Amino acid sequence: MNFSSILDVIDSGVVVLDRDCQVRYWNFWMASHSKIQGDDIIGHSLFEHFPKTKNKRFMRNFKSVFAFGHLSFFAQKNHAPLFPMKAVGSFISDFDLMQQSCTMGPLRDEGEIKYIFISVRDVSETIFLERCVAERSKIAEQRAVELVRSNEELTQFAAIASHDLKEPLRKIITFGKILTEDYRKVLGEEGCDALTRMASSTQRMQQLIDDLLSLSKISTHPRSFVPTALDRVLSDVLDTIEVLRRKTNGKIEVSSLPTIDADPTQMYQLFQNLIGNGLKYHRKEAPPLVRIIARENNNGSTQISVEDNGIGFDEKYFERILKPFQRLHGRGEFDGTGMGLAICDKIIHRHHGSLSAKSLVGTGSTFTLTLPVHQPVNP
Amino acid sequence: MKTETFAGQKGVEEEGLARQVLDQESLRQEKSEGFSEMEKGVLQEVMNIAFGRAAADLAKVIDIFVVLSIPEIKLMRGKDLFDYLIKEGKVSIPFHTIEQSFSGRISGHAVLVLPFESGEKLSSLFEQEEDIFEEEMQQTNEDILLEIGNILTGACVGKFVELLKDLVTYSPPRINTERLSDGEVVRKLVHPESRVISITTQFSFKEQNIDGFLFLVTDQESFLWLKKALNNFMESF
Repeated sequence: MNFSSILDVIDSGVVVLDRDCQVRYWNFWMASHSKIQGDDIIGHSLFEHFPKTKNKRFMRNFKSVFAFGHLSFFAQKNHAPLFPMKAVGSFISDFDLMQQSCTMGPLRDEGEIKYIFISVRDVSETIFLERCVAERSKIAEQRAVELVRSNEELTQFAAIASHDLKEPLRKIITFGKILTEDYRKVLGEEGCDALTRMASSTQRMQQLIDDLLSLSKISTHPRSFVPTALDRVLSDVLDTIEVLRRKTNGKIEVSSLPTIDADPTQMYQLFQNLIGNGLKYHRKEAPPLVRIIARENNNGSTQISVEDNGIGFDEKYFERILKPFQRLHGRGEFDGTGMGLAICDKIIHRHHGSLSAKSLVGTGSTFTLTLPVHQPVNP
Repeated sequence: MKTETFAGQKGVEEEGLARQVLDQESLRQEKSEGFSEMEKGVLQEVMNIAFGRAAADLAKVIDIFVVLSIPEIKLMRGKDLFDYLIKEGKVSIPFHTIEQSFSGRISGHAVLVLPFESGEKLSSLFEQEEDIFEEEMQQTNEDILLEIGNILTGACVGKFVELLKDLVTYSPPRINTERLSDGEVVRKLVHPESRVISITTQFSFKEQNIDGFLFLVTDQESFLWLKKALNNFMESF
């Protein structure tokens, strides 16, 4: 069997040219797509039918293939098609001309390069898909930029708004105190009760604003990461929450903690919130016990668990309680604004770490934070 | 880092030199790194002739006037290649790299290292005819670098394998705009433990004042064929 018939059934164009650029072979694929039959082009100069192909680039590569016997590549991405032909299939609306990828190479006879071949592939679908990917990537990039900007604006807004809210709030508190102290008789019992409620609400609002400011400052006022001895940070935290520990009759057990690259102020906030929660959310029948245990991982991170014997929570709510102002308990049961874990989560994310939790209602919770020992240079 | 330099023998006629090398071989059969002294000498000479012919044909056939230095050939482990390129000052500032694989009985990679600004400078070398194919005028600098890389690699590798009476086929060239000094390009090309032949030539385009490096890296599977081909080449004289 003469296998040369393959050239007339393959899904690619094949053209053979001699040294004078005369067409010596023109396969069926070329004939059917170009609408130029082999009999009309074989023996003629290629440029009679494709005058635009006679350009410097084509000739340069044509000569170099004859001289060096290498392959030359004409990728559609960078060039107009070598053989302008009508696009076929479902991409007609996207392209006037078929998108082609052509390869030019030598044909040798007894070691001497006598002809060159050009293989032509229809890459319209590939180019179409590449363009789609490029367009979508561009849109995704634009959206990412917009998202970063709007996120920054939102953070700034939260910081500015909470700062500005504090001023009128201070006045409400001050005038509330004046009313309570100087006009008690005028206001009567009902009036005083209303003022007490108002004072309680303003205090709560002040706490909310402070927490909101703390949350926004994590991104707006970040300090650089420095080697931070977590043992020292924890020691400061324990001093601060000593009053709460005594009040709850709690016990805190601490293992040795490592030194990591971190923002010391934020590490302080992180441990204050987590240990504070362990003391605060305790069961009535058992005094709180909080254990802080550190373990170094092999992958350059450190894992710190904050374990308590408190009221616990249903693990399905874990993601929810990481969001600002989310609380699982009524304000009557436990004080708080629902910002503590949101602040912790944001701090850990800023440190390229992660936070997870295991908990059982009525038994206790273990919050595990994983933090890199060294911060990446260009995260 | 262990490397072995082949002595360049500039300006000697190919036939005469091959005979000279044959004489040397009769005196010394010592082998190291898989090549005898004779084979190393012949390889050096084959590369000298090949690159000389490549430069001559580039000027004669397609009007590209390029000066190719005597190729420097070294044998080393893949893991040492990047250190060698850095130490020799072949890669130190931001460069474009144009990489192309060739395969046959000898296989490997050709990497062309060009300064960042070379694309623009080379565009004058490859200017297009305005009235012929206007779309072609839109060639990007990247495209020009790809084309020159393909032709230069084809010329050097083509002449080399032609002298050894063999053929290779080529992959399309790829351009890499990252800093080569990051080492990624080399690390992707060669296995750290594989034995490689590094063939480096400095080239400069006369009119454009552009210098660069071309290095060819072949893998150890090509060693046996290359030894045989070098011996056949010698016997032909």
